[in-house]
Amino acid sequence: MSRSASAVSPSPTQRANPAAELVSGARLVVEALEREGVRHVFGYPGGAIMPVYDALPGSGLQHILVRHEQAAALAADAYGRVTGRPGVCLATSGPGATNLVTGIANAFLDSVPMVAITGQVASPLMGTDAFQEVDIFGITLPIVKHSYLIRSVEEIPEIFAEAFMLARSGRPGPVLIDLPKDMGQKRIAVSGDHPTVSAPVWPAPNGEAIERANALIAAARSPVLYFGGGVSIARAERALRDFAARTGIPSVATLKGLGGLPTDTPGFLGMLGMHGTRAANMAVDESDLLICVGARFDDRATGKLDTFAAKAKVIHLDGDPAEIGKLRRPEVAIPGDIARALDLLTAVSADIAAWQAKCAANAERWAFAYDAPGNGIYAPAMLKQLSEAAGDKLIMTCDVGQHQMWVAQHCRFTRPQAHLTSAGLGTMGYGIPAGIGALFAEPDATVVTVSGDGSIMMNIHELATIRRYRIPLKIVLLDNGTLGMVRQWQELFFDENFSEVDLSDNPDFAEVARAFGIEAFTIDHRSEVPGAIDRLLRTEGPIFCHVRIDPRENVWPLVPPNSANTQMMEKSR
Amino acid sequence: MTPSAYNQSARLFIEFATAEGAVVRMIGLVERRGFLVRRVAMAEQPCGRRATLTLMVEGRDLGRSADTLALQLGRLHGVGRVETETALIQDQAA
Repeated sequence: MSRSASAVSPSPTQRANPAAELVSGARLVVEALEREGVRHVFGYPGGAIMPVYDALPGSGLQHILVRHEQAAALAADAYGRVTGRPGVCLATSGPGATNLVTGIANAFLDSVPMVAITGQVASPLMGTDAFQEVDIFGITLPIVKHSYLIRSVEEIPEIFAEAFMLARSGRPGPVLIDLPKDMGQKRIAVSGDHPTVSAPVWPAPNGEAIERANALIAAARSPVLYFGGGVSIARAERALRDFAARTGIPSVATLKGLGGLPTDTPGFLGMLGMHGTRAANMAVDESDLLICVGARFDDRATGKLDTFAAKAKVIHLDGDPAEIGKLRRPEVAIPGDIARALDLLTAVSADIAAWQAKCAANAERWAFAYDAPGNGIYAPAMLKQLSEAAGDKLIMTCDVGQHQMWVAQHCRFTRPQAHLTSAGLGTMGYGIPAGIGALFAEPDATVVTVSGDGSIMMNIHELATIRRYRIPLKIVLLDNGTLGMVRQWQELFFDENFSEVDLSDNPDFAEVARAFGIEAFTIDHRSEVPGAIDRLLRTEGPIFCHVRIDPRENVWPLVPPNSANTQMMEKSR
Repeated sequence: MTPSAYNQSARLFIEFATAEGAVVRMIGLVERRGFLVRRVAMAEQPCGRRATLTLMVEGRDLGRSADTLALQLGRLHGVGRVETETALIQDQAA
C-alpha cells in the first residue's frame, strides 16, 4: 500500500482564531464521530469517560448501553463486519478498558474495522497507580492496528480522522484511542474547519505477475480456488463470483470465506480444513494449482502445513503483502487490490472437464447425511433447515464450539456478511453481542444467533440489552449439557478422560430468557423442529429457542491435530 | 546440511515517525513474530519527527523469515522504509 498517499492536513484547531468558540475535548470527540458518519456507539459509562457521556445527549449518535464492556466491543465488531465501516465502542478506564480487550483482539484477528475509545485517568495522575488507572495503550499494543493516547485537546479532530481512516483502509483492524479525563474536560477555541484524511490506495496488480498467473491457470489440469475472509474485506465478492463462473474452477472456502460464493454455486465444495468437507480437502490435496484469494494458510485450514496441496503450484492474491509467503511461498504473488487482480485473470484452463466431474462426484458421494437415527433433534439438520427457510436476508451469528462448526458446515449463505463468526480468536460469548451489532447495522435483516450452552453463559446478561432496545434477535441455543467441543476432543484424543466439561446443572434457559422479558420456548423432539423454525421466523420481536440435543453428538469430519487434511476422521455409519 | 537447518538472523533498518509507543510497538512485534532482539540502536533525525531504528534479530526457530518480518513491520502506521540484511545462523538443535 502506498504510504505517500496517506496524509493528514494540519489540524485547524491549532490555528489561532479569535472568533472561535470554546469547545470541550469531549464535544470534539462527539463531533468527530458525527463527521465520520457514526450513528451507533456501543458502550458503558464510568468515571474517566464521563465527559464524553456528558456530551452525548443531543448529538446525532445513538448510544447502546450494554451490560458488560466486552459486549460493546463484540457488538461493534459485528457492526463493522456488516457495514464495512468501523464499529465504535466506548468504555471507561481500568476495568472498563480491560473488559474491551477480548473484543478488540477478536476484531484484530479477523481484520474487522473498529474504533475503541477508552477513558483514562487525568493526565497528571497517569503513572501514579491512580484509581482505575491501567495502561490500556500498552496492554492493547499487540492487538490493534494502531493506537493513540491523547496528550493535547487540539489533536482530537486530527487523531479521530486518522483513526477512522486507518481502521477501515487497507487490511482493516481495530484502532484504540485513549482519552485522559482532563482532555475531555478542557475547553479550547476551535475554528469551523475540519481535518481531512486521504486513505492509502492499493497499487495496481503487477502486469508481469498477472501474465504468469494466467499462464499457470491455462496450463492447469486440476486447479482449485481457495478463498478466505480477504474477499469480503476487499468487497471483492462480485469479482470472485465472476472468476469462478468464467473459469469453472472448483472452489473451497475458509471459515471466514463462507458466503464469498453462495453455498449452491456449481463447483463449490464447501469449507476446507479441520472440519471441512472431504470433497474440499481431497480436491486441495489433488490439485496442481491452488489459487489462494484473500486467505492466509491458517493452521485450521491447512492441517499439517507441509502436506497441504503438496503437489500444487500457488498463486496468492491478498490485500496484505505481509501475508504472501508468510507460510507458503507462492509461485506467483499478487499483492494489492483483489477485485482488480481477479478481473485480470482471464485465462481459462483448457482441459479440466474431467477434474470438474471428479470434484462434483466426490461432493455428491461424500455429502453430509441428515438421516440421524432416533427421535432426538439432530442439530445439523435443524440448522440447515433454518438457514434455508430464513432466505437471503439471513445474518447468522454464532458462538464458538461444536455449534459454530455445524453452522459453517450446514448452513446456506449467499454473502460473507451473512455469517458472523469469531474465526481467528474463537471467542465464546461472541454470538449474542454480534447479533445485537448486526441488527443495528442492518435492521431489515433476519438475524439469528446460534449458541451453545457453554458459550451463551459468557454474555447472557446481554438479554437485558435485547429487551431494553426491543432488538428482534432470534436466538437458537443448542444445549447438550456439556462443553461439547472440548468433550469431543477428550473423547477422541485424551482417552475419554472427561475433565471439567459437564454442564448438566445448567439453568432452565427458557426460564432465564423469560426472566429477562424475552419470549422463549424449549424443544427436544425432532417433530417439533418445523414448528420451532416457523415460530422463530414469524415472531417480530426477540425470541429464544432452547433446543435440547444429544451430548454424544460430535462434529464430523475432523482432521486430528498435526495431521494432513486427507487423514480426516469420519462418523461411523 | 540443508538451508532449513539454519535460523535466520538479520539486521533491520527501520525509518519511522516518532510517536507515542512507536519503538515499543516495533520491538514488541519483532518478539511476537518469533525473533530474539540481539541489539538495538536508535537515531533521531534533526527534525525530531522521524528516526531510524536498527535492530539485530535472530529467529527463534527454523522457518522465521526476516523478509516477512520486514513486511509486517512495514504495515505499521508511521513506519516508512524497512531494509533487511540477512544471514544464516546454524541452528543448535539441527
